[in-house]
Amino acid sequence: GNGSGNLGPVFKKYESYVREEQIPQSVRDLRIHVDFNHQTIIIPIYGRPVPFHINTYKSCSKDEEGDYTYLRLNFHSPNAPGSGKKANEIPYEDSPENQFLRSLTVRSKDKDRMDDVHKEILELKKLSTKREQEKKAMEG
Amino acid sequence: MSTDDYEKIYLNQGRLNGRFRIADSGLGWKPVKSAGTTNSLADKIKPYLLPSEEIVTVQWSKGCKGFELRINTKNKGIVQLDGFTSDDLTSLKNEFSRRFNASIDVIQHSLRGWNWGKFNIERNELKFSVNGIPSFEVPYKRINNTNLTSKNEVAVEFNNNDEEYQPAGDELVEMRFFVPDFVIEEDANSGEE
Repeated sequence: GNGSGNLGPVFKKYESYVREEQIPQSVRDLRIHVDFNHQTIIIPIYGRPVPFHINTYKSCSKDEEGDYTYLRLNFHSPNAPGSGKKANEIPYEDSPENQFLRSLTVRSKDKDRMDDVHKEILELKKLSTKREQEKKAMEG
Repeated sequence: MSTDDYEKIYLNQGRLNGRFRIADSGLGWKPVKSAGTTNSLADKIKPYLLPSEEIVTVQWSKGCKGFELRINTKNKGIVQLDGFTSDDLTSLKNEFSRRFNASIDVIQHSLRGWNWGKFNIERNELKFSVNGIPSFEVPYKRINNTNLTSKNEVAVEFNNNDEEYQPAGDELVEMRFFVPDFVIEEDANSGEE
């Protein structure tokens, strides 16, 4: 257990990057990238490479419509549909002052690339979940 | 090479790089043309000019292409110029100070990878900050519509049919934000006790 004395779920801190130089050069193409080394999805938001740690990620859906492939990423947030389960740990700081980016949709005409990114995101999530379970098993 | 001329600079996430120039009258950008081609993309993109009196504040931050000069203007929204190297900052600072009496603020962005924080409604853009450090900005020009999609959830739809804005890379379509009551009540200035 934790020694904080709080009864609510605990936020376990995580961080994508410490220094700007760690952001991969690949973001130059202003497309979504998955950085396995830092467990991070990088989304270009109006020219800014914005990291989202895999711990913030909840689910993802892919849709095709016309010439475009749409990718919608859902992130963890309080009171979200389907997150009614009470957990000991939450992947965010639960404060009434916090606002959350809950979902984000991007689109591209490059279907193959969007398919690849989608697969990479699922793979990163799988690896991260596995790693967490191994850590917990080690801690007993 | 003079310090008022910069090559391989990208304007507002555009697909073509160009030359950025600083003059006493203001800032200019024009796309490079590849030799021998006609009717290319570069011919369709107009040069951009920003009169010096439009400059309100100037920021320097990490961008996708390199380092970004972000100019808050009086009437022309946000102007983004990306692709500078870290070495360019000193000469840019000198030029902006000498010609426009404007300082360049170096702004670090949040690298934590968190999806929670706070909005700031600024002059020309919506800014989302994590622990007081900016994470990303959305120029109002790029917003098409906003909706209350469910209790405490706001959807922001982006304008993807703008002839004048044809960005490189993946296009943002929509973002949804969870905004707890606490903040809404404060903003609405309600008299409830």
